[in-house]
Amino acid sequence: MDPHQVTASLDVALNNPLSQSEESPWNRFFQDNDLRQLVSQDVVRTFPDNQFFRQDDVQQMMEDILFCYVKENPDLGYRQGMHELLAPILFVMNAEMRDVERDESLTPVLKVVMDPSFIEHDTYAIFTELMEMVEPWYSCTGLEADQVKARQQASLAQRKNMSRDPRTSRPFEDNSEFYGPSSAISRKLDVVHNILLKKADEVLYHHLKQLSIPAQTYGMCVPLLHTFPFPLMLVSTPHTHSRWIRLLFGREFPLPNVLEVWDALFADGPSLVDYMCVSMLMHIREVLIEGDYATSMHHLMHFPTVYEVNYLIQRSLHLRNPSQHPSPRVWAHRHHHQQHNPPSLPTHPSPLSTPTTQLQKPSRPKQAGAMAKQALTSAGKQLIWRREEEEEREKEVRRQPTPRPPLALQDPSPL
Amino acid sequence: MAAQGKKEHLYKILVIGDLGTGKTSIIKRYVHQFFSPHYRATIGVDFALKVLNWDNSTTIRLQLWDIAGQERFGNMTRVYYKEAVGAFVVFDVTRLSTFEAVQMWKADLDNKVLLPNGKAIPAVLLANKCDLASEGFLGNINQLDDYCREKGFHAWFETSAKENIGIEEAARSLVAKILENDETIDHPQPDGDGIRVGEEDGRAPKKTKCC
Repeated sequence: MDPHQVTASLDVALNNPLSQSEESPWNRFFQDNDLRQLVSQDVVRTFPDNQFFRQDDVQQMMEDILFCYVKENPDLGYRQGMHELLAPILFVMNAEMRDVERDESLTPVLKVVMDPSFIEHDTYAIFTELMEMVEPWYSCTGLEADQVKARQQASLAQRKNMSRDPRTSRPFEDNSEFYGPSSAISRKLDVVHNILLKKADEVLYHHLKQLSIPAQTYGMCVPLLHTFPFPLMLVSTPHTHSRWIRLLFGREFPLPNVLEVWDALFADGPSLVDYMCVSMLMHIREVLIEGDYATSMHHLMHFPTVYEVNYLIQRSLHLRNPSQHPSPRVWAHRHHHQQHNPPSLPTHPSPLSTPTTQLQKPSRPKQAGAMAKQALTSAGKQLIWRREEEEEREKEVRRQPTPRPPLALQDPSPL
Repeated sequence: MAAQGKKEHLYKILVIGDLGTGKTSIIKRYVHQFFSPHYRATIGVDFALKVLNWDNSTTIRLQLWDIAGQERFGNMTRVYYKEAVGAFVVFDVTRLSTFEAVQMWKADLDNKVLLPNGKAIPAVLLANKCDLASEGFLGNINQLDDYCREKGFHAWFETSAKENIGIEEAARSLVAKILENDETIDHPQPDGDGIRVGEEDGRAPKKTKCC
């Protein structure tokens, strides 16, 4: 509501731009403007390489959707990352609806359902559903203030006695300091680490466990131990800030692959997220084990290109329920030989042997899944090529020094 | 290449500041000598490594931690800040609100991470996007000298990731301070004042001319 438009019938004490009252329409007006500015700052930075998201009307649509969502959910507020959950939905909705627009074979009902003039509305509805699933990973309801304070003092005392050789630095170590040793989160973490991971990759589990025992072996590998549970930890915590989880892997793969992963997550359910994390970690296990701190961090923050993302999905399904989902063949092969192989980047599992995704058929079409699913594959295939071209172009730019136009060669502007 | 007996240091450095102040751009410029107007918003934290040949006998590896602007409102910064020995606090000279947030970032930092001797970690203030300074709010940017002294910043620099201004200098200043801390840390100086603004090596360049 723009208070400029409101006639002077209201209480002047309230209805003036200087009023700080929560009730004042002006106060709300300014707050809304701030919110829009905040949202817009991220919206304009969404998928910068993708022309679709460079269009003004698309950006406006995203801003409006996020603005409305935040107004509807004031307790959560705007959290960075929401925009990148919204983006793929909008992208698919647009592709899908525009695609069928010209399709004469559509039944009248489908024509209404797929009416492109409702892209924004439908996207909002699906986004809201999705947020319901991921909200706990965005909300920042924290610890009680006094708990925080107590922990602060404890960690201060601890820090004073600490070796400061950064090679032994362990930024994610000792989550108990942060979450409290007896918190439900850390208990759950325990379960995830000691049961889930152990079951998934015993070699890695024991490797990590062994590293944690003698303090003098804290060397290059130790941070691994502590970066390793990091994404796992975040799977199960409301303090989640991990990009992996928050964006539902949106940054770890190119958009077409993200859509594939989302297909799986929506068809299956949120619990697959945990297993997807484990699957991804195991995918880079050699690098994690062999690499130094920086290499490990780099690979966790910049997940290597995966050409067959379906393979990771299959493996996560297998990890959760081996009897129902056979181990993908490439993985079985690697698993048996991994101890003899020299460490190599397992970024390129042979694409030939993975079976197509056999998800539990969405008999109860979950949330965004059913709608989005159809358009994903075709839109995705197109994008793969686009993405590769873009990467090539980006590399090209990087190779060149800063593209400063040679001033002397430019015609002086006549104006 | 590395000579025998070469000293090697590894330092964790934080880059913090409000949303869209250019933290990622500064890091990309510093590490990859590259600028693009199109970066995505950082989610949570990002990480980059810069290797410096400081002098003939010293190599320095900088772990640069790029903390998302919104993280100040979360409660993970403590985890991200852990073991850091230096920080850049970035604001955007074209947006006053990002400057106002500087002291909150600094307070957050000092609350959550300290050097082993109990002192605040050295922080350098970066007035970024100085190529756009004509649109800026900082009429008299040199007042920042006083501001830094008051808020406990080691130094400040005008920077532009776009035009490659000030970033190398700022990094040198911060690293020099970290090295100095490193040498004195086990023998705390009697005066105990870890932060001094206006030291020769750390003084901000007066009036960097920007385009």
